[in-house]
Amino acid sequence: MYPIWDVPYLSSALIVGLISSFHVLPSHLAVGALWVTVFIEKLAYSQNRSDYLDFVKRFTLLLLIFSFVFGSLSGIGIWYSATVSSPRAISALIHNYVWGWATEWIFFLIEIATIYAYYLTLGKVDPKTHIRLGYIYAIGAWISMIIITGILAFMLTPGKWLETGDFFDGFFNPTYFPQLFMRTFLMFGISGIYGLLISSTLNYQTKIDLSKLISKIAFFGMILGGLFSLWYYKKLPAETYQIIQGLPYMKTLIKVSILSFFILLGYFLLVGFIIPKLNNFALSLVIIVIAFIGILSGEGVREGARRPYIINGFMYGNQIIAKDHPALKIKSEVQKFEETGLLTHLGYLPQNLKKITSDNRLEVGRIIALHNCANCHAFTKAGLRPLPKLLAGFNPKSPEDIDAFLSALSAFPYMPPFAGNDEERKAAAEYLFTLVSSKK
Amino acid sequence: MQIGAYLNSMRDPAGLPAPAFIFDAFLVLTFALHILFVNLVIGSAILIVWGKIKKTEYSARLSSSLSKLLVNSVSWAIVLGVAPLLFIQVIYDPFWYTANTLSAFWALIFLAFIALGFSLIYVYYLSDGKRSVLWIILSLGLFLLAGIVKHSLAITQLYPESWPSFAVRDGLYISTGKYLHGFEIFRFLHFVIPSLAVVGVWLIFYAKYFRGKYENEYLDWVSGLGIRLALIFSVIQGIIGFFWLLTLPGDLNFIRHPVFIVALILSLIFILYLFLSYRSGNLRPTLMAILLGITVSAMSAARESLRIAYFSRVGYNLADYPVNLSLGSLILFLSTFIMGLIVLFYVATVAYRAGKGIREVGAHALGKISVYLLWLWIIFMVSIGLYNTIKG
Ligand code: HEC
Repeated sequence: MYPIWDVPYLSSALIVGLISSFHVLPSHLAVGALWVTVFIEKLAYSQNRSDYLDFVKRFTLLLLIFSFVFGSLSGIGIWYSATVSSPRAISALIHNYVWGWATEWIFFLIEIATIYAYYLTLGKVDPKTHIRLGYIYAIGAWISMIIITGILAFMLTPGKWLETGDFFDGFFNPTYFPQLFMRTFLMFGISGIYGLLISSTLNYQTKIDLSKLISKIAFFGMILGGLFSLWYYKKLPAETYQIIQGLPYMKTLIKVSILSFFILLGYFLLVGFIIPKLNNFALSLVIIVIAFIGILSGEGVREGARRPYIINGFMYGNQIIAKDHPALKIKSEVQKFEETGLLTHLGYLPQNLKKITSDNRLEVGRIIALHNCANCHAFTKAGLRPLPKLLAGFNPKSPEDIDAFLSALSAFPYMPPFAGNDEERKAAAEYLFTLVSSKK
Repeated sequence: MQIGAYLNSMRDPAGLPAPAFIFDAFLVLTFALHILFVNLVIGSAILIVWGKIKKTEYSARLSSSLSKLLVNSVSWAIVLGVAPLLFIQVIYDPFWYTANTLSAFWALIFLAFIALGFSLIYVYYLSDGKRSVLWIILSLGLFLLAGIVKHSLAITQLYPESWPSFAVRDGLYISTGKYLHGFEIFRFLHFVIPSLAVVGVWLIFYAKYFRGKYENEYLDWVSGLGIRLALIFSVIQGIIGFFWLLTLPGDLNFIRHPVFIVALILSLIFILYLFLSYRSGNLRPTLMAILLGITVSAMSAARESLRIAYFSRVGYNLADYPVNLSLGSLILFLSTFIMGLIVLFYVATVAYRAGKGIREVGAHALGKISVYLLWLWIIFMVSIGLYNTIKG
C-alpha cells in the first residue's frame, strides 16, 4: 500500500469532495457557455443588435477567468487530491482509462485554443469565422463532457466491466446515458445563471432582452435536466438505494438538491416569462450560491452512494480490492490481508515499524487505523465523522471492545471489512481506545 | 520487504493498457512541450518586469506587449502539463504515488500557488499593464515556488531507498505530508535558466511576425535583444548542465549514455547556430524554433533516460510491466489525436492571420472540415455507446 494521508478534522475524502464540488461550477459553465453565447452572437448580427456583442465579450471574459483559471486548476485539483487520498483508486482509474483521459486532453487543447481565439478576435475577423470558432469550442467542450461522464459514472456503476474489464463496457455503463443527458441539459441552467449575472451588468434594454432570452433557455434546460435526473435515479442499483436510505444525511442532501433545483427553476420562470427586470447582479449571485449548494448536495449523494466502495463492486474505500476480476487477472485482497497482514505490504515504512513490538504498538496501531479509516473519518475530536466521538458512542470499556467492533466492521453496509491480521487489529484497537479514553 | 520488491508489488494490478514504450514516448514529447511553455511563461514574466522597471520607450512597449501574451502562455503551460502528468503515473505509478502521498500537503498546495499566481497575472492583464509590476513579481515568485515543489517531488521519486526515512521521524509516521524531501540546485536551475533563452527565441519570432505592422527600429531592437538572450542563456544553461552532470551518482555513468550524448551534440549544434546567427545578424525564427524544439525534446529524452537509469538501480524496468492491451481505447486516442491536430491547425491559422490584422482570414474549407470532424467524432462515439448498451 502507498503511504496514507490524514487530514485532521476533514478526512481526505472530504478534500476531494470539496474540490470536486467547486469544480462543477466552472466546468459546467465551460461546457454550456458558448452554445448560448454563439446563439446570441448570431442574433447580434442578424437583428443588428451590436449591444449583444458587449454581452459576448464580457461573458467570454468571465468564462476565461472562471473556467480557464479556476476551472482548469480545480479539475487538476480533483485529480491531485484523489491521488494523495486514494492513490490506489486513482491508479485503477488511470490504468483502465488512460486513453480516455488522453482523448479528453485533446479536447482541452482545442478548448483553450478556440476560447482565446474567440475572445481575442471578436470584431477583428469576419463574423462567419468568429461564429465558427465559438461553435468549435462549444462542440469540443461538450465532447469533454461526453468523455468524463463515462469515467465518473463508471465509479458508481461499473456494469459489465466487472466481468470483461473492457474499456467500452465500463465506459458505456448502465448510468452513462441518463447521466450524460442529465448533465447536458442541466448545464444550460448552470450557464444560464452566469448569463443572467453578466446581463445584469449591461445597459437597461440589453439587460431586459437578454435576461428574458437566457432565462427561457435555462428554464427548458432545467426541465429536461430534471426529467433525465429521474431516469438516472431509476437506473441506480438496489444496493445504492439501501445506502441512501440507511444514512439520514443522504436523504437530507437529496432534499437540499431538489429544493435548490426548484428555486432555480422558479427564478428562471419569473425572469424569463413574468418580470425580466427582476434580474440584478446581487440576486444572480445569490442564485449562483444556491446552485452551488444544490450541486454540492447532489454530488455528495453520488459520491456517498458508492460506499463502502470507491469503485463500486471492485475496490473498497480503504483501497483494498474487494472482488476477484478474472478477466484482468486480479485477485481479491481481503483474505490476503487477513492472512499475511497489512504491515508486510507497507513497504514505505522502516523495518522497525513493520513488526509490532511492545515499544511501537501504539504507533503501529495508529498507522494501521489510518490505513483503514482515515479516508472517511477524522481522527480528531471534532470534524467529519470523528472517530473519537463515534467510537465513544458504543461506550467501549477496553481495547477488546473496540477489537470486537473492528472484527464486525463489514456488518455495516457502508463500511469495508477491516484489512489486517488479528495482531494488527488488536494494535489498532488499542490505539483507537486511546482516542476514546484520552481526555484531551 | 526490500524496496525493489515493494515497488514492483505496487504496480497497478490491471497492468498497462498498451506497451510501456508508447506511454514513454508521449511522456517525453508532451513534457518537452510543457517545459517550453513553462519557460516561456517565466521568461516573459521576467522581461515584463525588466521592461517596466527600465522604463525606456522600447522596453516599456515590449513589456506591455508581452503582458498581453502571458495569460495565454500560462494556460498552455498548464494544459500541456496535464499529459505528462497522466503518462508518468501510468508507467511509474509506484514512484509517483509514493512521492506524492509522502508530501501530500505540498502536492496540493502546488496548485494553490499556480492558481494564485495565475490570478495575479490576470489582475495585471486586465489593468492593461497600468497596475504595479509588483503583481507580476509576486506571481513569478509563486510560480517558482510551484517549480520547487514539482522539482522536489521528482527528486523524492529518484531515491526510493530513502522513503522509509522520509515517512517516519523519531519513530512517528508523518501522516500529514507536510515535508518536502530533497532539492538539487543544479537540476532545478537547469529547468529555470532556459526561460530567458526560450523567450529570446520568442522575441525573434515576434520581430518577424510584426514586421510591417510596427516600425523597423523597434523590431530590430527586439530581435537584437532576443538573439543575445537566447545565446547567453543557452551557454549558461550548458555550464549548469555540466555541474548537474558532475553531481549525478557515479554509478549511473550517465556521461556515457547514448541518449545523453546525442542530446548533448544537438544542444551544442543549437548553441553554435545561435552564435552564427548572432554574428551574421541573419535571424530566421522558424529554423531557430525548430532547432530549439529538437534540442529540448532531445534533452527531455535524456532526462527520461536518466530516470530509467535511476530506477533500474532499484530493479524497476519498464519492459516487465504486464500489459493488458486495450486496443480499442488506444485507437480512439490516436485517431482523436490526429483529428485534434487538424482542428488546432485551423484555429492556429485563424489566430495567426487575425493577429496580423487580416479580417477576411479565409481557410473556410479547413474550418468546415474541423466542424464536421467533431460531429463525426460524436456520431461515432454514440454509435459505439448504443451498440454496447443494446448488446449488454
Ligand atoms: C468507506 C468509508 C468508511 C471507512 C473506510 C470507515 N468508515 Fe466508519 N463510517 C462510515 C460512514 C459513512 C459511517 C456513517 C456515519 C454517518 O452517519 O455519518 C460510519 C460510521 C462509523 C461509526 C459509527 C457507527 C454507528 O452506527 O454509530 C464508527 C464507530 C466507525 N464508523 C468506525 C470506523 C472505523 C474504526 C473505521 C476503520 C477501521 C472505519 N469506520 C472505516 C464510513 C467509513
